[in-house]
Amino acid sequence: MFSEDQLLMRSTAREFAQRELAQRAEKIEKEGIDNELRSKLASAGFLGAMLPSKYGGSDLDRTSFMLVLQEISKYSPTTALFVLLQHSLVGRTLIRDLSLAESYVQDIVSGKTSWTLPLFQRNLKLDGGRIRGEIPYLPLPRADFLVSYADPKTLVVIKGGVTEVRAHHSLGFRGLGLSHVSVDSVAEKLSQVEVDPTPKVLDEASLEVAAIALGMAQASLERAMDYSKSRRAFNSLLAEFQPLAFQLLEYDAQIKALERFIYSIKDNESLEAGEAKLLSIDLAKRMSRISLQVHGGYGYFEYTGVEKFYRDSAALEAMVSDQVGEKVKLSVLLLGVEPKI
Amino acid sequence: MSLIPENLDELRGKAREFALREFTEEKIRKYEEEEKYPEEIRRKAFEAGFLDMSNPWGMLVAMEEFCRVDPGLGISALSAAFGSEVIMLFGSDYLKKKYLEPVLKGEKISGFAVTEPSAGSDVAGIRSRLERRGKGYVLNGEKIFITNGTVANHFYVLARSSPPPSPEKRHHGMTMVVVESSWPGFEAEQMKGKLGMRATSTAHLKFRDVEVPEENVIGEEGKGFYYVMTFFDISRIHVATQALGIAQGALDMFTEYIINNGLNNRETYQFALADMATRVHAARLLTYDAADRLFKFAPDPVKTSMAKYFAGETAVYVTDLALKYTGMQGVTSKLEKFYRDAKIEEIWEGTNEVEKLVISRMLLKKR
Repeated sequence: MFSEDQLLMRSTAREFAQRELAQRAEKIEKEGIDNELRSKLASAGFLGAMLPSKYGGSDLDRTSFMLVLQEISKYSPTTALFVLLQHSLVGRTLIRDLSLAESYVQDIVSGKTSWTLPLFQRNLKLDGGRIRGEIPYLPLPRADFLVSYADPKTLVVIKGGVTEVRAHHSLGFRGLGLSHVSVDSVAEKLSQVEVDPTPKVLDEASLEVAAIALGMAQASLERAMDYSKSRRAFNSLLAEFQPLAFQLLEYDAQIKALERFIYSIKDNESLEAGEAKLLSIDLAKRMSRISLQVHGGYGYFEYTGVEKFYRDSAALEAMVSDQVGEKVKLSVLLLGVEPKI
Repeated sequence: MSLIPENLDELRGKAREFALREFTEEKIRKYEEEEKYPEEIRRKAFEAGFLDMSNPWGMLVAMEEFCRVDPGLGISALSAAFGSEVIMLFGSDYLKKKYLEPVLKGEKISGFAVTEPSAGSDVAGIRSRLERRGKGYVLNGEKIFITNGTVANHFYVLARSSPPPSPEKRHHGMTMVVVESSWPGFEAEQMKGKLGMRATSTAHLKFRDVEVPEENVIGEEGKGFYYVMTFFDISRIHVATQALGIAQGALDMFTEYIINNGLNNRETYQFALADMATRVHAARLLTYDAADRLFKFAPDPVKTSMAKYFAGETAVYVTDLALKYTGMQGVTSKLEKFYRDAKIEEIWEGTNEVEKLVISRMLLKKR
C-alpha cells in the first residue's frame, strides 16, 4: 500500500511521536504547544512536508503527510491538528499568492512564527488600511499572525490587534485554545485570491482530517488491547472475555479496512474523500468510547491518556463539518439531487 | 397503567426551580474548574428539604431535575448521605444514632468505599484486610474512585475479614465497617483531572493500621458482600436517575437549538429529536418501574440493572447526538460538559458489562 519512502516517513513520524509527544501529551493539553516543540516539528520537516522546497519545504506527497499526521495523532491529536493548521491551512493558503508566499511561508516551515486562521465564519471588514471585526471561533488565539478573508476575494495577513473577547470552554484540542476574538489591526498584507473562500477551511483537507481521526481510532484500540491483556477481573484477563475480545476484533477489522480505503483515495475534493472523513471520525468516536469503557474508572482520568481521544474525536466532528452541510454536499455528488427537506 | 406517580409534579417543579436558581453558569464553571465540592449548594439543598430519605420519590425526582440542569452540582448536592442505606437496613441502633442521624440532619457527610485499585466491577476481588485485634479490628488497604472521598466524615468500608472458603465462594468472608475520616491511619487524596463530574469529590483512600471498634461492624461479620449488593439495588436506581436527568437536559438543549435556529421543519433535526425523546422516555419508564418496585419493598435486580444500563447508555447517546448536530456551538456550550459528565454513567456503580451479567444470570437462574 505504501512506497519505501512513505514507510520511512511513517517510521520517522512514529519515532518522533514516541520520543517527543508520548511523555508530554498531557502537558500539551494544559499549556499548549510551546516554541521548543514547534521548532522540533519544524526540524523534523513536518511543518513544510508538502510545501515546495524553495520555501524550505520537503515536497512530499500527500500520503506521506497523512502518515505523519496519523502517527502524531496517536499520541497527541492536538499536535496533529496544529501541524495541519500551520502546514495545510495557512501554508497552502499563502502559497496561492507569490508575494505572500515569499514573505511568510519560509517562517512557517522553519517554525519561526506561529499562525492561525478562523475555523468558521468571521465578520471582518476592511476600512482603508485597517481591518476590523469579530471572529467567533479562532484556534491558537495567541499566534503571531492571523490570516483570513476580509471579503470573498481578499486575503489579509494581520499581526497584532487581536483581542480575546472570550475563551471558549472547548470539548477537545484544548492545547490549541479556542476563543472569540475582536480584531482591530493594520492589514499587514493584502492579496486578491481567486478561490472559493469556503467558511469551513477544514473541508479542503478531508483526507488529512481522516488520517488524524484514523490515528485516534488506532491509538484507542491499541490502548484497549494493551489494557485488556494486563487487567484482571473475576480471576481472568479482560481479554479472555468473549464479548470484549470479539468487539476489539471487530474494530480492528474496521480500522484496517478504513485505512486501506483512506489511502486509496487520490482526490481530496472527491465524494470518497468526504466519505472517508465522516467514516473515520465516526470510527474514532466509537472506538474511543469503547477504549474508555475498557479502562473503567481509570479511563475517566486524564492521566491515563484515553479520555482525550473521546473528547477530541467529538470535537473534531464539530470542527470539520456541520454534519448537515457536509452531507448535503456529498449527497449531491452521490445522487445528483440535492436533499433539501 | 402509569409507572410515574401522579403526585410528583409539585416536587418536580420545586426541584427544577431550585436547580435553575442555584446552579448558575458562574457556579457551574467555578466548581468545575476548581474541581471543588460545592458545600454551600449541598447545604442549601438540604435546608430546602431535598435530602429527605423518608420521601424516596421526592429524592429521585430531585436528582433527575438537578442533573437536568447540572450533573456535577446536582449529584454533589444530593449524595451527602451516600451509602447510608446500609446502616438503615443492616446497622445496629448504636450505628444508626451515631452515624445515620447526623447525616439525615445534614450535619455530616458519608461515603461508600468498596472499589480498589485492582478490583472494580469484581467486588469479591478486593484486598483490604480487616483483622481481629483485641476487642476490635485493624483495617489495612486502599480504596479508589471514592465519591465524597475528601469531604465525608465517615465511610462504609468493605474489607476481607477471612479467607474465601473456595475460589467459587470468593464473596464469602467480607465485612462492612464504619470508619471515621478523623481516625489515625486514614488518608484521603483527591483524584483530579476527571473527564467530567468535576464538582463531585473523588478520592483515593488509604487505611494504615486503622483501629476499628467492634461496634462499628455493620450487620454481621462475613456478610458484607451481600450488603453491598443490596445497596447496589438502591444506588443503581439513583444512578439511572442521574443519567436520565443528563439525557433530559441534553434533549432540552437540543430542542432549544432547533427552535432558536429555525430548524423546526428540517427532517434531519426532527428525526434526531424523535430518536432522543423516544430513548429518554424509555429510560424514564425503566427507571421509574425499577424504583416503584424498590419503594414497595420488592426490588427486582433485573429491572434495576436494565434501568441503570439503559439510562447510562441513553445519556451518552443523547449527548453525543445533540453534539453532532449543534457543531461548534455545541462543543463550546454547556452541552460539551453534559457529554463529558454522561460517560461516567456507563461506568460507576456497576459498568454496563456488569449490569448485563446481572440481567442475564438472573434471568437464566429463574429457568
